[in-house]
Amino acid sequence: MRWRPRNSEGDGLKLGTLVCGVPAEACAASSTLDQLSASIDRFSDKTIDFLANSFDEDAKSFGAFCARVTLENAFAALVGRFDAFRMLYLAEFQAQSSYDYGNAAKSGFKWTGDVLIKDKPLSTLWHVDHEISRISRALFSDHMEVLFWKPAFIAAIDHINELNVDGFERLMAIEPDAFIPQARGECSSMYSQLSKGVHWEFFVSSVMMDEVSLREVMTKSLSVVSALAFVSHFVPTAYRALDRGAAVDAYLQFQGRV
Amino acid sequence: MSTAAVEDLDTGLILAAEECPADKFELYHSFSPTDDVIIRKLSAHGPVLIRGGRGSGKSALLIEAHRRMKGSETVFSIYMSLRYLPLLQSDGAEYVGHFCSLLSKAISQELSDEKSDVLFEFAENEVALQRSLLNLARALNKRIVILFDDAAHIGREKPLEAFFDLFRTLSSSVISCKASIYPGVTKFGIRFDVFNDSTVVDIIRSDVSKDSGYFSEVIASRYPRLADRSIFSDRLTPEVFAKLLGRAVVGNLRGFILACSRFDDNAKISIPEVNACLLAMAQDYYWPLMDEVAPKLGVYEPLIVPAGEIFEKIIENVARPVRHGGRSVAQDRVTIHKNIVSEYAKVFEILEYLGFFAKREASRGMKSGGRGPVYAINLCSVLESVPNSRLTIEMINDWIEGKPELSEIHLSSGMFSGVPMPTLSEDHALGILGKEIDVLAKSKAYPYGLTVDKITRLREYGIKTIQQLADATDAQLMRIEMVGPVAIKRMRDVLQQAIWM
Repeated sequence: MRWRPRNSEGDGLKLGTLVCGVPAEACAASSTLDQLSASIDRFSDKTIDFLANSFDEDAKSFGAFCARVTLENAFAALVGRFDAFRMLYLAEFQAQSSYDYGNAAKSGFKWTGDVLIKDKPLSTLWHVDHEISRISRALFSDHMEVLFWKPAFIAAIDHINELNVDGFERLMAIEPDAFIPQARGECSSMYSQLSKGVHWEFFVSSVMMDEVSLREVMTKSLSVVSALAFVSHFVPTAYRALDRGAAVDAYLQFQGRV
Repeated sequence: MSTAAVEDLDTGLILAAEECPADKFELYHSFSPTDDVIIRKLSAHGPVLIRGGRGSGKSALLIEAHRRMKGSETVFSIYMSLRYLPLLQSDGAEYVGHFCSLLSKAISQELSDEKSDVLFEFAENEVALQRSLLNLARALNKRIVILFDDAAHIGREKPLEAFFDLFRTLSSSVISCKASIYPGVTKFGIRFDVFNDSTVVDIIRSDVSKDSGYFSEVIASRYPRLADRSIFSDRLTPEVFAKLLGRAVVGNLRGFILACSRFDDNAKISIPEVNACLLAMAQDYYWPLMDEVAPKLGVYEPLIVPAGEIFEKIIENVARPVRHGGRSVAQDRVTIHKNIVSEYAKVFEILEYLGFFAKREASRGMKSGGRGPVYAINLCSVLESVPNSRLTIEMINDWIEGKPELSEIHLSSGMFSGVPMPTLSEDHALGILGKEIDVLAKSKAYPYGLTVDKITRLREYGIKTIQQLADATDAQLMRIEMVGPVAIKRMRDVLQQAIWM
């Protein structure tokens, strides 16, 4: 029987399932994704609670933090599902006695390097002189876009067209060539904006995020993460991918909660 | 949102939202939950570009966002229309100078309206403007949102690079720029990266199969009589009526209001009346739109003829199977191979901008191979081209629900190969400015036009072209016999409609 996401009643379908996919045979990679999935559920649920209720002091103080953790954990999970080596390395490294809370780990998961490319992009994607170290495997790198995201996005919108289901209008309005450039731009600004809400680095009150700005960036972070997570299940080599029908169900169920 | 256009019954003018008197705005506009999401994006921190065709409701959304931010304890907002002729006719430093002056005045006016004690330091260049804005944010202890309306129109690309440069420069942690643009704006300049420097929000309303209540809400708010079940025949409900008209004009609110206004005198509405309305819209609204807009397209003015021819071929393509008996209901959407769209890009942008069709999907796989965007075609033109032009209940249901299979125009079809494409000049002044003021007379293209008497009086005074009328001051116009403040306002309104989209 095909695995189906849980219904939105009871425990309800959560973002962690959409991002981390179907449970797999027990192994280090799968348990790492289980861990990330639980974390994504915890913080995205809190984000949704804040958005659904009157925006109280807790929402103002911790809304950005919850959205930011959701964003980071979700992208770590997607990196891991595309590139299990990176995820396994991080899981193993954190289990070592040398892993020290008091010191920054140079090889730790980083926004610049794991999500966005660290160095200046190559002028051409394919050239015999390119060193392998210059070929970025960051989630939004140009090579990742061409090899993983764009074909997956096209497969996803074709599948939606075959099913003729509602609820995907936002995705259908995006050009395949624009999907990752747009997501990259949105995520960069969201990450930066949410960071300011995490660190509370406000020295003048005019730059503090008010309710409308917080609501917007929190909603947008859930929207962008869920869209990327949905498309990730159309990457044929992605680990723990949902089957296509289940991905559609999972996406629609999550949209119903936001 | 209920309407982007307001009909002033006293004068017969059809006004755009930005020309709606402030005290009447709330009366004529209401906003849906989808609109509320866009309005929130326009009110929140961060740069946003709101994109939509002519009459799609961009201005109303910007104005409503401004209205909602008024009196906020955390935000100071400025709504500013860039409908200012010198901006259209300048570039580079000259454009920046006009822009800074206009924005400075708009901010000072807003502060005055808000009865604020804070004064804005007038700025003449972008560095000074940036500094003045930051000082203002500090003095008010608020973040600032600037809503630029009519920032970018098709055929007016010359000053666009300067505008987007300013948009990017001014955006900061306390200053959020928002601007309305048209589909197909591509010249953002070398410094502006549309994906990194803004969030683009598209206004898409052409699909009525999903959003069940949107156009009904518009009618309930704007034309309550048309929401009354008792005036409709058994086979037509107010909901179906609202959806059909909404779909017929591919979600264009200006077109929708015009279509609704045609039922003012109908005591009873049944399918034949709706049939007549759609056919009249094809004749009186869509085709005259080409004549009206052509001289406003600047360098792209010569493309209006091929645009008409290409649209006719698209219509012919969806009507042919009905004419030959292969289908009973004409296809209302078409997938066009992306290479064709790319080859005739500006033509497609013009047609989309005018509302002849609306892009429904960005990329769909075609049966014959390849991919292309899906366009929803206005039903007025489709109905006009099918045999007998008779609207049936089957057509209504299929079109509302989006049932007909998509039509396709393949790369190998050569369908548009016979359409001659003119060579565009490097630079082209707006044709409308050089036109005689006679074109402003009341007509199908200008239903809000001037009387013959007023045109004659203007001519006798020496004002013969639209440029001359635009340059004339109120004091000069007041010297003309039988021309007072009311007539001047009407001239200014007509001029706005003629020059701007």
